[in-house]
Amino acid sequence: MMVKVSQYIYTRIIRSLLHLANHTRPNIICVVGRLNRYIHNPNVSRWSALERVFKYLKGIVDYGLHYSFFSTVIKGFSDVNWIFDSKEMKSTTRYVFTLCGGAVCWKSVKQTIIIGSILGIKLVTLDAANSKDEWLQKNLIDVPFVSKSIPPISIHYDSQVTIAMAKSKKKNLKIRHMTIRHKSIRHLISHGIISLDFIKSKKNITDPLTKGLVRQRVIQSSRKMGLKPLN
Amino acid sequence: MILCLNIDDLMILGCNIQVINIIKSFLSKNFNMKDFGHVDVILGIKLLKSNNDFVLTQSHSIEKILKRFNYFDMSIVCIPFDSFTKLRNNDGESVSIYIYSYY
Repeated sequence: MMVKVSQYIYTRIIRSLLHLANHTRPNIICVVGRLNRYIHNPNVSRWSALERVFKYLKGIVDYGLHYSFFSTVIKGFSDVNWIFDSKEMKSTTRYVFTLCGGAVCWKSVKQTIIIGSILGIKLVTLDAANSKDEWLQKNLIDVPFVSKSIPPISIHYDSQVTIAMAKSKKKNLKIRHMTIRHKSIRHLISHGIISLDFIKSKKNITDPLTKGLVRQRVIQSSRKMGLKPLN
Repeated sequence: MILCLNIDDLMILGCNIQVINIIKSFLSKNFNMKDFGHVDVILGIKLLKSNNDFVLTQSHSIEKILKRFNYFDMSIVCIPFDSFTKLRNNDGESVSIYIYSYY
């Protein structure tokens, strides 16, 4: 009976934290998402991790996502991280889209297919981000204050090899589900919906979406996502 | 013109105030509605507008959550997730909150 009670409270806490992470706190989505995997069987280390999230949230109570009125350009940042545990099978995809200096759309999710190569998982990540891209751009056309000719959304990615591969016309992919993704990325590039740009790993703001970071990086990436103090 | 509808919350966005007023009067004729004026809080998210920017914030709901689960009087940390913490599947028993409170 005792066990059930604790599970019930753990689930309730995770549910309310997910609500925050999905709406205005993109930088806690990684830890909340990972804690969410253990709701069937919480133990001490989960509780202490959860406590840490609460302590962090208390520090950023008076923060909000800021959107300035100028620069109505969508920027995309995307990355992937390799499996972090011997028991894990799938890599985690992450992406953030910013508009007017604030994050508008973000996700940190496990990939649905198992791929052995790093190049493969990077291509899958790019495809996942791009599907959101098209949707965002279609939505933006309806917003009155944005000019009608929307420039291609630039997706920042930290792997030169993947960018070169996405742009190349060669069909040397031997896995079927890779070929279809490669095709869809090429389609978006050739129609001018997206453009791929290289960014250094250090400047990629998506890092807090899949791993724990040092203090300086946490503050930096939060600021770039538009999370700032209210006054 | 954009109309955001979520179950029983409705938000109208647009550039022309006259068109917005026409839509409002049309909708209120057909449905039982209440006008709350300018948007302040929608779906638990507070909207603030200043001269330079828009701000979306959930400060009030963070405070509510911290108080509800008794974490309001804690010290503050700067990192949400310690990278040295290893989260693995728990093979043993679940730890109940009552036992945990003795730690």
